[in-house]
Amino acid sequence: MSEAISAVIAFPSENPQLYTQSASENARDSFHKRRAIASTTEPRWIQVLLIAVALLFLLGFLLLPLVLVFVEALSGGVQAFVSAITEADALAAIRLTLLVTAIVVPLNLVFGIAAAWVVSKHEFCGKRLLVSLIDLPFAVSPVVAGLVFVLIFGAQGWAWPLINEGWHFALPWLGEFTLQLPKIIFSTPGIVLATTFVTFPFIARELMPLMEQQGTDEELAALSLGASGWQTFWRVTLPNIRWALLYGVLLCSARAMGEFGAVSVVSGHIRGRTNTLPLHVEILYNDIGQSSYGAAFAVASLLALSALVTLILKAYLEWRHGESLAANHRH
Amino acid sequence: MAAESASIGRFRRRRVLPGFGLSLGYTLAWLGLIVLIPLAGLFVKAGGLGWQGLWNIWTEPRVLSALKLSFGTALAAAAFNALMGTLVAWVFVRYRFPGKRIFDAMIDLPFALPTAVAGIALTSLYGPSGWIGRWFEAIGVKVAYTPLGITIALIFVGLPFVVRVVQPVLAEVERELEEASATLGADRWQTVTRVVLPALWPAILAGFGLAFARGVGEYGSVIFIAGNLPGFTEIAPLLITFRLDEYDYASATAIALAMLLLSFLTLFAINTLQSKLTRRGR
Amino acid sequence: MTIRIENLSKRYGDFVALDDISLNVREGELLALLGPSGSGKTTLLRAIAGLEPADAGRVLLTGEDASQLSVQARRVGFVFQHYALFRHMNIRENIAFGLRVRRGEARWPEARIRERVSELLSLVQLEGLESRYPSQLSGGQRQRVALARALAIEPRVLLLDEPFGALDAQVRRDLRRWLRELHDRTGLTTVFVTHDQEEALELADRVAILNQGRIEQLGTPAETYDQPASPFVYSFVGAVNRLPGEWRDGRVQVAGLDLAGPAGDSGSGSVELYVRPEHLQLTQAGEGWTATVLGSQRSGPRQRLWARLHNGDAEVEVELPAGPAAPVHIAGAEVRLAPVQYGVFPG
Repeated sequence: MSEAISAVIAFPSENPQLYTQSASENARDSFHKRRAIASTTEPRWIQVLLIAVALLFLLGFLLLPLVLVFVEALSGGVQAFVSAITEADALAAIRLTLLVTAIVVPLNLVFGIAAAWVVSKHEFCGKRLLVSLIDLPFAVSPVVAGLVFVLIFGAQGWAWPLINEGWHFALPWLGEFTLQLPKIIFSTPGIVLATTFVTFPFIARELMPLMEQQGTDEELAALSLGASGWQTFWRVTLPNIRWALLYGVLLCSARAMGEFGAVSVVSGHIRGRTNTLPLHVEILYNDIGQSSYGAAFAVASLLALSALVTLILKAYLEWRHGESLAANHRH
Repeated sequence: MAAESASIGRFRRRRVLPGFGLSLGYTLAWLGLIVLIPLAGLFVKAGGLGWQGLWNIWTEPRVLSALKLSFGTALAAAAFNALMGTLVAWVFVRYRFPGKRIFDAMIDLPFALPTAVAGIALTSLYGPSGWIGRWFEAIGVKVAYTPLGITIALIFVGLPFVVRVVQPVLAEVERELEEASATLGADRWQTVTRVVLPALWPAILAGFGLAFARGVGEYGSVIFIAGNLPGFTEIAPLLITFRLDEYDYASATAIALAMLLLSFLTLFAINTLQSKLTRRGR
Repeated sequence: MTIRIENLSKRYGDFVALDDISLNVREGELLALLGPSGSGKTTLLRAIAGLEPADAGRVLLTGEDASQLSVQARRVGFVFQHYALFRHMNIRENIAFGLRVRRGEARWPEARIRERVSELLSLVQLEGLESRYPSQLSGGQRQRVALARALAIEPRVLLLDEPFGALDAQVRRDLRRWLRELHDRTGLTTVFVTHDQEEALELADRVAILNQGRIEQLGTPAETYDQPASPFVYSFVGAVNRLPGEWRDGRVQVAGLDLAGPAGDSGSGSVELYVRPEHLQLTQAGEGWTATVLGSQRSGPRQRLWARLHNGDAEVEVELPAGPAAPVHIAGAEVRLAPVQYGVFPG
């Protein structure tokens, strides 16, 4: 008999999902989610203690700074607040931030969709390498991100000649041409590049796990019904990922608006010209002068507000469309 | 039919869903343009210095202390976060309390808040006359403008990484395992430390690694609270910007390379450790 | 160890899992809790282990009121349906777990723990595999590890929750036999939960059939099969034919046939007659029901017959011995059937 048992074929890994719960098990599970079981959970006082520690920590450590921003922003009164954010340099900073975001997000959106499409719907060797490479900007300090662009386009960078003098060349019959790159560092294009680098993986990483989980069945079905590639994409793929897409765009925008380190390196901090909102906050904060302290917080509160909006929208999206977002959220 | 498609295999499979060439090409081009080529430029520049040149820069006292500071504070902050983050994750997964949803959203705040805003807020908070700083002043502990301040800022920044990585894993731990442990005679503490925590180790480690990598490179949240005294409270990213301002690209590159290499090494080590743990435990 | 359950009740919100259950488990017996999903059998088992606190009633382990005892103190060996093996520990560590968490005087010296683990490994026939991890074992092997782990702590009673549910048929059959042998060898009071009546009837000394939180019948497998106490038990354990009828003058009238009430009962009103296919026999003309054969099917040593009674048009299933000497029945033929053993319940 022992031979019979040891001759057992390896059982395919148990898949708990195959075991469908009975009504009583459902009732028991939901009941347990509401009540603690006697000896298989911590004593009540420990639970209360842990909850208290966790909540106090969150309140005091995370929430307090946010509260402080708004309190300090309004500490000089509403009048001071309004004048701080409508001041010329501040408005310029707002405009620049919005402009950069408006350029960067669509760029990364297109990239994110393309990358997620190719990675999740196709098989090819080197896929894992590609995903790791896409993740690279996450592992790089924002200052280093700015640095790499300065190395290329800065005054001693190897593309400098192209910027400073341009590249003269002659084509037969067509005459002479000059290819000249615009100023990158200390100018808007540099800020765009650096911000693109830093927010590069956001949308792609939001979409990839979801699209992979969704598989290719629906797209194949569409193809078999006669749809073209583009039609399949617009009518089948996109609608399935729209909430994750929105979510990714949200995260990308929030990060793009708030990027500090990388932009700080490439921008040159020229007030009114190459200052984004975060940089403007820094300048105001470091200024000596009573009013600029409050002004710094006033401007910062705009950014904090956008962060709050992001969080609220994120919570809403997760609540309403949680199943349509990726199964695992890895930030 | 099956043999036919098997022999043409991968090639045919790619053709079924269109757009492979286009999307792969675009992806690679964009990736190369924005990420790979710029990063390669960094390595080329660093290569131009040679190992000796790099070593010389790395062992400059100011550089060394900046690197040590960045790594030391990031390590301390990540360790604290590993502990606190696991506790927070535990509370959110296992217990019920009012306002849970709001608190849960709060955990993502450091992730959503721009670093500069966090930086000035934390400095204000922990400064000598700040809301919290004044209590520390009273007992003679200086927070702002010290490595402690830097660590606190990094704790702020890194917390969501640990919590969000541990939460789903903890949620998956089956209740039955804890029940089994109880029927075998283990008390609650033994069950938690011998049965539940070991299952969480890979996730905690991953969160630690992410928080650490983020902390090493963190700039905006830290430079306001740090004080930036060379040799004492000057973090490596800040030193990079100074060198850049002085047009000392070589030095800046060398420091950046040091940071990159050590970050990659850490992440690689943690990944390997993680896969060893998961292979055994799955 | 004996287990005495007194008036145990448990609800989950609106759902009644256990409804005033009382049960005695004898020393050294192998008791099956049998029933469909939702019948409360698993809840009852968990209540004995202390994993579910009851709303009312109590559990007495060898006379001692267990509600004062925590799960840890009860010393019950519990084997979970999905084994609940600790994935990050190897087999040896899993089995030794219960012994290693003991503190103070109760703790065994290391050598003794090792010896016990080896003992158990050979008991469950898994020697040589102790360094493996659960993920490297098959379902049947994992089940045996779970058993060994529960036995390691020298429990007073062994509780098994659908122990073979997740395994395929052949493995299940082998492990069933093996469990019975194990039980005979150790003499340990064992209670197991199953929804598979074949398993319950084959393995157990006694069977408790549960339905909707109540015990419908408690008895030996033979008793539950031959003398089902309720319609539910009749239907749940084995196949059954149901025919409407009524009481008349102390006898039961079913489809024109006049039968004695079982065990001399009498009553009034309409009833349902429950009779198993193998308890319908062919009779000669003049007795029993007349029926027309609808079809027949040979199944190994038995023959299954479907027929429609002339009186009332009810369809019945009949099981007859098959073989070279047995008559062959073709569709359309007429037969006469009579029940030799049946149950009568208010309909």
